[in-house]
Amino acid sequence: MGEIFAKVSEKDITRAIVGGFIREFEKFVESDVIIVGGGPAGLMAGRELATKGKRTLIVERNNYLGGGFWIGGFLMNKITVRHPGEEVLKELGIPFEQAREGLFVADGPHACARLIASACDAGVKILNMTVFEDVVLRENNRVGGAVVNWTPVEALPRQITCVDPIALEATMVVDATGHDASVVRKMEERGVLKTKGFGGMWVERSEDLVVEYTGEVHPGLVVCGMATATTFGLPRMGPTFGAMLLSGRRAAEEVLKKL
Amino acid sequence: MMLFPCLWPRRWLFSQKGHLRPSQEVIREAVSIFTSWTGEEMREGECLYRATPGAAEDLAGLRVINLDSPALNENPFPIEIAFERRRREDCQCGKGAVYAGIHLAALLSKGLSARRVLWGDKPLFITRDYIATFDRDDLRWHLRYGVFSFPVLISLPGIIEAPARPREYYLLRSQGIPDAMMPDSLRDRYLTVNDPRLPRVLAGILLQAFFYYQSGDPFCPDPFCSLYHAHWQEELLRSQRDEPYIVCLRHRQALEKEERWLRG
Repeated sequence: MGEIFAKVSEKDITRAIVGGFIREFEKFVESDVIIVGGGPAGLMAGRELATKGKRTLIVERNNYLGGGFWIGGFLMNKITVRHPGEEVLKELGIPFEQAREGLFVADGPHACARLIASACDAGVKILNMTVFEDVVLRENNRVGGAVVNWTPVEALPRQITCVDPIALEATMVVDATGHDASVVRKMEERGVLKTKGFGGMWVERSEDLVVEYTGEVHPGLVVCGMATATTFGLPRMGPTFGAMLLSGRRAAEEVLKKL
Repeated sequence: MMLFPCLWPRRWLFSQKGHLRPSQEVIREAVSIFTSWTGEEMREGECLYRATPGAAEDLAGLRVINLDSPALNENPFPIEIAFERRRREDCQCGKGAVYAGIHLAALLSKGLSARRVLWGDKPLFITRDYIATFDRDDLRWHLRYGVFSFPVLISLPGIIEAPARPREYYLLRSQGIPDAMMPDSLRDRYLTVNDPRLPRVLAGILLQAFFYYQSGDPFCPDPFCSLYHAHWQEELLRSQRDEPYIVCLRHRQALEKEERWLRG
């Protein structure tokens, strides 16, 4: 019985990894858009932008993409969206059921996998295990890119790993880092803008506000998803994802206006 | 009374038995119940957000952003002002923002002055927004269903969400049980957005507004009187029903003295 797999040596595998990565990475050192955060809002924004032919890079600090989209509330892997979020599910080919009027439920793993695949199919480049460190600022403090480093390097004490980060340029940057609002907070550290903090109040309709406030918060910087809630001090919302998907879409529309 | 509903005929909020139901319909039903009790004439004005000059800039600054801080939204972002402007132009209220009730009433009173509306007109603003007041006892903001001032503000979502739900609800919620999966026996003990009891509850709150303008005191300590100041949903539902009576003897006599009577 013959061998199943083609014969390749270790060096060929290494060359394929390094060469493939570097060729693509070089292209994305200068992008139209850098999206920081690969959760549902970031993936959705990336998908929409790449579909329009924009060079889009998603920077994700974890090994995995999708953020909290894999799992709904209480570690149960059913995700819910409220109308009109199900229209996005339909568009992405994610099977769902109606739980009650205006509320739809889908399998988290299926939904998340479809969203990631859809973003990749559209042409989004993903840089995972990469952490956002700082913003690139241009004249009048306009945001012009992101400073990034490998997540493991960033996680180690400075005394052990004094490894400088690198800078990536982009016409627009999108903060899709969830509750952390890492990009906006970095701008706050620099005294360029001020976040309002995360509201502790729970109101039924706060999902609407997240979509409404998605937009350019500073020249060159668009905020979306739960980062919007932190930036504007919006009330908390339940474990539903419609606002993340629609906020991602709205962020893409706002970015397209600026490109 | 002069009713200023924050409404748009094409906007729908409440749903019942699979059919969409406009908040306007809930208000109409409540007004009809209220007038059947008091015989009070209700006139309808335009949206006060639209009637108030410069409301967008001011409203953005009246948003409650931190439950534990009396500070409001100082230096609003341009997006926030644009949102308020959009709301005003397209009547997009009820998106989930929380506004400082007393400040909001003071702001809207400017719109009333511009339209020469006086105390005797008993202006009443019904909004789909959330309103809150800062409690100096526990130093935090609390959602309210109404703010009794000039004008009286009534928050439709506040009726559902401001009075606290039963303790069991929060216990289940903290364990990750979503609203849709709450047991029916528990769901009967609080209002939801598609609740058929809403018009009757709103009618009772209209009665509170009426007494506020008549006597300066909208509330009654009797837990079965429609003027009871409910802090829990169960208290609200207990006071806002026709049994054992709509209002207590004292308030019934007050109405009879003015040759008004309860016909409900």
